[in-house]
Amino acid sequence: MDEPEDAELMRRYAAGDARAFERLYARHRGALHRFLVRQTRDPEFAGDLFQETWSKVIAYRDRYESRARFRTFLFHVARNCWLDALRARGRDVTWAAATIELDDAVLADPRARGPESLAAGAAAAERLRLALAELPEPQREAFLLHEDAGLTIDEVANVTGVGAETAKSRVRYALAKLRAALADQRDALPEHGATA
Amino acid sequence: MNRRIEPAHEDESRGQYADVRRAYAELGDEPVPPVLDARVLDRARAAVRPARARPRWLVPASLAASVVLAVGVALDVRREAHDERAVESAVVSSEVAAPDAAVGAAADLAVVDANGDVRDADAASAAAAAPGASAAKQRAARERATGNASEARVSVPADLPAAAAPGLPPRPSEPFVAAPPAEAAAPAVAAAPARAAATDGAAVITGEQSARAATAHESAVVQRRATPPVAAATAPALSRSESADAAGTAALATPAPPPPLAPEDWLAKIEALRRAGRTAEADAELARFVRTYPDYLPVVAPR
Repeated sequence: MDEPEDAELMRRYAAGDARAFERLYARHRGALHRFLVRQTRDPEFAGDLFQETWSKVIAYRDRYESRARFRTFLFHVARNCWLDALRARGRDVTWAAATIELDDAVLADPRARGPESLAAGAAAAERLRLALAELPEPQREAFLLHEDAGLTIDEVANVTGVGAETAKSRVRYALAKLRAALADQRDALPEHGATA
Repeated sequence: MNRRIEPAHEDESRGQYADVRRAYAELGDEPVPPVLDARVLDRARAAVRPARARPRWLVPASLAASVVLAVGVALDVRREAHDERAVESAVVSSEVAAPDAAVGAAADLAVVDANGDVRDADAASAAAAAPGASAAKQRAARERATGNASEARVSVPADLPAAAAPGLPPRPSEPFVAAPPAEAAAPAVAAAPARAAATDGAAVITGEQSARAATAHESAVVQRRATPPVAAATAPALSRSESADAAGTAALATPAPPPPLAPEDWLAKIEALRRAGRTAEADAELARFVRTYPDYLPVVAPR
């Protein structure tokens, strides 16, 4: 159970124990950075958001309350930083609060979504990376929070500001699209091998 | 991969998307650049770092420095005040003596007591200071004071009682007869070398020496007032009553003003006095001449 431990570390840090923060940081830094890089697809931008997120955690140390898991709080802060940055760049972020529309076409036929963009014969991981990058932002966000950061559907819903069902749907759609991308690769490999 | 692969329990499709999750787990990591780690950790440490306390030695060191400075300034001011009093004392003494100085020729005699106060060379005062002085000496002194005395030297014991030592207002019954007409006109300032000599016991300073010393003293006083304390501390003359030797040496080391007459003219004047029958004056002048020009060799015309 790391939940109370995270909260305890945060309390100790708020009391002036810098080592408590170092432990907390070591525990969550990888997941946060991965989330930001894969969500923004811009390592430099992700680095800025990473610093800003931790800066806000540092600034909020006295006001932190362990009503939720620290990781949920951390990713909530990170997402807000990201949306604020997108707004500052003039990007439309209305999707962040909108209920996702199911892309039936993609779900029905994985290859309908431009399989050409996924290089035939590429490694499954690379195809998955490309497929992840092409996911709609809400789905990618829900997928990353759920599958990578380890948040529950309720926590994803909390962080993203939507209902639990919506969060769950976003995760499922994301998984379906990624699977379609992998299936496309599997289908492409024999062809590639046949031609070879 | 240190990433959690197992999805949350709500996902009923856990087994259904196992291949996707496996592929995602193989996707690799997105390592955090060390520079980001450093920045975040530095910021976190700085946020809880207590305000840097001043070194413990700083306050005592500052206090010690302040005390040393204050004491130094106080000592310097005190020394300055002491010097000012010494000069004023000398000036007052000379001013007291000044009316008597108008009498004339006794200007070439100045007596300084052991306490450093200037008195006239007047024998009357000397007699007053020394209870056993004879009436004859008093008469002689009065004669000198009226210009008849040729040269007199009066020694005052260094251990003269303070009551008799003057630096104090003159006694009405014993008018000081000192001082200097024009050429020796600075008995007041003569106090400096006089005091210096007095510390050795008794001192007698002639009028010309007084004049020289007067000039030296004036220049010393002016210099001392015009220079900062450190310079004044090393300035000659009256600046240090307790270092009378140094003061006297400095005063005498100061270049004397030119003699009133050239040697030849002075000798001619002496000769004229002798011819006029004023032998005493001629002797006195000759004595002064010898003191002024001890190495003078008269030019003898070849025959």
